[in-house]
Amino acid sequence: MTFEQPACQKCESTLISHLFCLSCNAFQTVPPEIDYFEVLGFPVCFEINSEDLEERYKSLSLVLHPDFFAAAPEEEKRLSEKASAMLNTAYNSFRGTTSRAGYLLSLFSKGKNLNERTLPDGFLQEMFFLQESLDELLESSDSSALNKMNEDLRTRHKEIESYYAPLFKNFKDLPEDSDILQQLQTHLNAERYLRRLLDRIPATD
Amino acid sequence: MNNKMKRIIGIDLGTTNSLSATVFDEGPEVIGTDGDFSVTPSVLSWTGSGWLVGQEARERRITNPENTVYSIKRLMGRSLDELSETVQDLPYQIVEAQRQLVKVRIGESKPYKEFTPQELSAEILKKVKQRAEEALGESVEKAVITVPAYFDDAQRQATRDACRIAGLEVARFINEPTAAAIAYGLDEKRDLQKDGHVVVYDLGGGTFDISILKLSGKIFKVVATHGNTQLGGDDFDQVVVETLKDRIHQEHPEAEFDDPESKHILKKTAEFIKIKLSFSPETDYSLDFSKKSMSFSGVFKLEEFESLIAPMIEQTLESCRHVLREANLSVKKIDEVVLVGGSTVIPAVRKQIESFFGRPPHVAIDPYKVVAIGAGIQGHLLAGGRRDFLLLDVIPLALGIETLGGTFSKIITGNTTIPIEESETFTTNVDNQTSIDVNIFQGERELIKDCRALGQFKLRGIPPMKAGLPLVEVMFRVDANGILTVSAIEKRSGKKAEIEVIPFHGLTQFEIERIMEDSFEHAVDDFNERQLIEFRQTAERVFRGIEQCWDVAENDLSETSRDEIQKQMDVVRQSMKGQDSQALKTQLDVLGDLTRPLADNSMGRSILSELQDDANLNQ
Repeated sequence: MTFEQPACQKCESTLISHLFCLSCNAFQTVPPEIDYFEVLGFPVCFEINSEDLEERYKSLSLVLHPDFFAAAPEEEKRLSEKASAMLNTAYNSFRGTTSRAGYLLSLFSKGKNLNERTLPDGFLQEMFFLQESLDELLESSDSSALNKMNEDLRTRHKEIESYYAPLFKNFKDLPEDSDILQQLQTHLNAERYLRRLLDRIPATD
Repeated sequence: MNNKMKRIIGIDLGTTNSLSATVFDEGPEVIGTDGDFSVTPSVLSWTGSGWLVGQEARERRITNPENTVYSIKRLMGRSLDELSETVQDLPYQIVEAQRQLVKVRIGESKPYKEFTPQELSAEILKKVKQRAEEALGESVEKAVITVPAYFDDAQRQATRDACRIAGLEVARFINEPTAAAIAYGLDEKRDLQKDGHVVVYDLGGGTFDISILKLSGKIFKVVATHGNTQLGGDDFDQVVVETLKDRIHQEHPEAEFDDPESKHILKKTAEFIKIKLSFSPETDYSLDFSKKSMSFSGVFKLEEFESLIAPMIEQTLESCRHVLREANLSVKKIDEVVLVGGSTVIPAVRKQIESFFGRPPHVAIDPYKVVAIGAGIQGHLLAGGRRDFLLLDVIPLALGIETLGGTFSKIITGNTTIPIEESETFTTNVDNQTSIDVNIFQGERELIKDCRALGQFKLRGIPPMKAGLPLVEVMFRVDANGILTVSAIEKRSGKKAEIEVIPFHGLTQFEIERIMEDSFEHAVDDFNERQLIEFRQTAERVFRGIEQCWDVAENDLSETSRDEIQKQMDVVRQSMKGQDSQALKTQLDVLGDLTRPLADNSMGRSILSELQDDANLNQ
């Protein structure tokens, strides 16, 4: 997959987002399978600087949002709603490390038969143990111990999220290696387990 | 404003009061003459053939409580079940109609008149629209309407139907705290370069909303919002009412207060106590139940009032904690707290907010006007008047469908920026199943029994296949108004399945059209009737005014003039008994001319200026 600079369907200027031309303010006709990278105008790559993402989201919102098309013809109104919804979806997906990794993996693994349920070795035992301790702590309502556990789980969660970037980097060099994708899938599955545990801890002020 | 641009006004459709605003050449401001007269009380009173709306209706809460309807906003888009507690506090009758819709019943015996909350709300909108048109001297067709952030889809749909009935096109719904944040964010007094997180605490008559917005440059983004559509100043009144009842019961154990008159007197006294206690540590009160020939008086202490409302203020702070958690922010990260809504003038509320956020709240903007002004600014933007800011609003509660075992499967999560489209694929459970029932819910809980049912549809025309083979994609689309549309398609056959949405608590297109036709047919009669009642009330007020300054009038008026005034008053009284509203108006105008010299008198001036306002109001 390579990153091509597309041209505006109307004025042929180079597009940033595939949705809208910033030079001539024209909505573009896009295929339904347009991906989030095309929506936001980023190269297909796991690492996206959060400030860049924020800036891009803002600058596109400031031209696409339906508020600026309230007095426009129906067709343009519809295009603006549609484009704005796509932008919001793409932005939401890219903001979270795991959701971005999950999205990118789904792009890379199209047509490849990944096992969707794999977990790291020994992970289930670890989770089983953590779950039991959490049950006990929730029952005892020992808030300092609970806070400690919360911190530990968050550290573990961060650790899992730190595995994505190097794997995507490896995959870039070895795009034929499905095993790398399988490893990513494994970490994403582990992350989901851990998040469910974290969700059970009541928030404190 | 340039000529080609069609004005879009902002309307704050409140539980207690409604008002409109727009952007004038001088800047954004409430529409209407200065002072209280720009506000339309959200009250209606049935005259037998039509509605009185606003100030005139509010006056009839005393004389005609069973025909006078208020707090309609609390009924919008809700079923009788959900309203069971609210209904007890209201002096008018509420009955259940088709599809869990409620109706307000007017009249003590058959034939009753019954009205949906949408129709009633439309009457208020019509009045606000008409007053805006008079003040602006141009027709108004489109408006930005504010709704509580925590209004769910059914409540928003009901509000949209009310607008349709009133002949107003909704240019955009915006959430009330967001509107307040626009007014605050674009306020000249604020340092526009300063970015940061703003909390909007909105406690009105019937609803509570809390929102956190991130202001960065031109963009105002709602980060998280939370609230309670059934908590507000009315509840403060209600706890005072309960205390008053207890006190009266100690002296009169047999006393009952279920009749509309008693309910009204208690409510009125509670409001009086609440307002008085905002300025002093205690207040006297007296209740006079004339129909029961019973009266009662006492003293209410601030301490007692504050302890009564403390649990409700705590509830609002619980929402503050929740919303901070959702936004992943600590109190220290909040740069400003903006107060909105009449109930935020209560000192105990301000004290609690200040101690919670550790900073005094921002009160430079009038909490009564700020929502309407924000909506007016947004209207100006939508009309094309400016492009220098953008509001990114959210959908407050998750949307999804019922899946196996009564669990709620979220398709769009809460606090997602709108517009948004999300879809999810489902399949069949039984071989050769050709239809699927899709039940749509809104809420934040795990089980559908704890969420709000919005509607259902049946997906038909699925080709017969083995269970689990069909791929049914259900698509949820929330537009920039926060309104949901749902569609579905069976992907394997590529055939778009037929869908049929049955809304709960809502009106069908057919019902809306019928209501509009009805109101058009009765419009002429209603108008005369309404004017007649309005002019009669004006006449009563003019008489009171003349009586009040009659003694000093001797110095200002000749004997002939006084005779003429007396005679003209008799003519007006005669006219008041008739049915011709225009004749009454003419006689009232003559009386106005005759009493004009009184205006030179200093005492008469204040009284007559009030009469003048009335005359303006009724033109």
